[in-house]
Amino acid sequence: MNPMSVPLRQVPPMPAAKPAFLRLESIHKQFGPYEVLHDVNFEMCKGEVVAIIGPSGSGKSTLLRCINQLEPPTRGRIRLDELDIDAATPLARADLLKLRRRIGMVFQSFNLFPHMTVLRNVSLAQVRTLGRSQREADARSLQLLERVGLADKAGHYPARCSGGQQQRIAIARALALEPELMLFDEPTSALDPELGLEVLAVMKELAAEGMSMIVVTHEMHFAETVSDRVVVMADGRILEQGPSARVMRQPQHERVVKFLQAVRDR
Amino acid sequence: MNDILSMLLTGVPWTLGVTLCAFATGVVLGFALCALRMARSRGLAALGAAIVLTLRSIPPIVWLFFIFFGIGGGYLSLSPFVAAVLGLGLITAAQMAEVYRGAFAAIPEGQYEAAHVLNLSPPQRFFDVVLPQLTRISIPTAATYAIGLLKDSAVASTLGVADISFQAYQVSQQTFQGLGVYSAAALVYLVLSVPVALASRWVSASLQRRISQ
Amino acid sequence: MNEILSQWAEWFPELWKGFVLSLQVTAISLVFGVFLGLLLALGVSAKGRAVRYPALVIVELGRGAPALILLQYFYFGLPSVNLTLSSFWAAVLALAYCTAAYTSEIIRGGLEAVARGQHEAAEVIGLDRVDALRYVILPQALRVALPSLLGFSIMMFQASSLCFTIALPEIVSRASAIGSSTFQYMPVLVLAGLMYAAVCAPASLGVAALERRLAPGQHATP
Repeated sequence: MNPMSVPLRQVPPMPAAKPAFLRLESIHKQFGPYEVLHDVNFEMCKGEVVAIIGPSGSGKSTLLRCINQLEPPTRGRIRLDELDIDAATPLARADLLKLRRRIGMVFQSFNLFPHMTVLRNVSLAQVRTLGRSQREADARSLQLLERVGLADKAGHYPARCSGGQQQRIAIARALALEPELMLFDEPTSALDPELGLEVLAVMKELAAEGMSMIVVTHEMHFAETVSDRVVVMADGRILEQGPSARVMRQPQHERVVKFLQAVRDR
Repeated sequence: MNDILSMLLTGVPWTLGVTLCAFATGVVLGFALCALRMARSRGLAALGAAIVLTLRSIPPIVWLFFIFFGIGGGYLSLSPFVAAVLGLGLITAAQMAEVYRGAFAAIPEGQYEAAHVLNLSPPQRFFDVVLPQLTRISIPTAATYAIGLLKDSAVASTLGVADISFQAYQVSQQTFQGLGVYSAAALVYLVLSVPVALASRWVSASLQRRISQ
Repeated sequence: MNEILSQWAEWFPELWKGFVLSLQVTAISLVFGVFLGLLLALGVSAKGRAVRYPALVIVELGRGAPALILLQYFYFGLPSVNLTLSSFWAAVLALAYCTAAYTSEIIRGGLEAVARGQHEAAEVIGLDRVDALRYVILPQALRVALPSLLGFSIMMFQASSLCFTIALPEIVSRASAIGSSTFQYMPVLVLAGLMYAAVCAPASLGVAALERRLAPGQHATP
């Protein structure tokens, strides 16, 4: 990996009293007759790295997608600093845009745009959403690609890149808007273990630089070592949450104990 | 409006007649063409491909004129109806040949092996195993073509076949209500295509039941 | 044989004029028609009923009516409401409408083939709906739709032969005129047919090759 020569953004050192930066209050999500999320309450501070783990179907991905309104919650409130979004009131286009600029997302299946070069994948949003000039955007994109170790792929098309490379490009694309919060939806689940390692390494560096991150993952090692806090979900509810070392090694909820045991035994 | 509609409706039997006869001709001739196309001899296969390509690369109206004025003018005398059926039938045969070719490719290899293992004679293999599956797979595409053929049959009016389009032209020239006449004619064609779509779904479903996959 | 060739040489310039006219009518109809077809495809895919229902009606009418009827509607029908069009423009309007109706379904198929993830990725990087369509979705949809669109264009070119019935002096009408004056229908129609085949046959083969290249392993549509 390249040395951290290009910081992603200037982050002040962690203040002693940490104000909540993201707040989810009483989030419910219903798909027809199915309640996928039930009364989820969650808070995080700037600079925190939170891992969300749990069995399949627990609602982890849905919760993530509620945060950036890919799936608007059926009920509940989301607060990101001064942005206050209540499910009951329709969301103004301008507010949605503000939200999207501040939250970046990385998908399990990367979702790179196959008909554009890697460089354009990263530049497009800068030009259209941020209004930068093409040249500015391309320069910044090259910096970001260098940051994830893929500057030489700038002129290539995504199909010519391995899965791990595509996901790193996807991370660069998400970082292009200079978000304050990064959401990762099972970023390594679609990758071979070795390719997954490259991606996890980038995520680790991001975390070390102070990026606020919420990561839905099955990578228990990452959850334990890189994240500050772990949230365990099942059946649309949060079963347990707390400092990662504590939750992973000394879980208190019975179901969490079983889940972690099953995962370790694999 | 009623008069206009009743005049148009006198053309329906002719439209349906041309469509059904051309379709039947095409379905049957299509087999022959497909057989030619899939022949083991390279020369025959190339000939088949060339015939199919030629039939599909020249507009129906040119074929109809060719058959009616060209062949019909000098050598034989053909009625407009027969010329239309022949022309449209040949084009349909070319399209059906391609449909059959695709359907043959879609029949799982295992079917041929199973038929072989069961010691069925070649005719038995074809009629009892291959043909039913071929039919089942071909029906949806064939139905789409049939509906297309219903609309293409309008070209028969240029030869003087008294179909819906022919009537529409006559009536509009007589009454100077072209807009209403042609709108009505379009609706008649639309309404006629509905039963064909439903019939194809019904036939397809009943074949599914009889030849469970 | 020589006689036929010399006749063909004599008739060719006349037929060529009609051929060029057919190409022009087809080209203009396709340009307008595909653009309208795109709008209709978006309309039919829209969430609001106020947009979707009218779009559906327009598409079904265009697909359900024979091209011949559409042509005669614009040429013979409109004058009854005091709107007279030249055979050229009646042909263009009718064929453009026909193109729009059919291509809207083709393009809609292409739009639906674009993976859900692409829509989401475009959304989360803050692209608005227009930009998402323009930069992400449509380019991919049109790539999928291209072979079918090209195949349809070839069919449209053949359909332009029906403009004979609305007095457009294209190939068939000129061939027919020559035939009726010389009574040599067979040779002149063969020549007309060959001229069509000269364009349509290589074009069909080209589209089939393109289809094989874009989607290897998939069965080519007949």
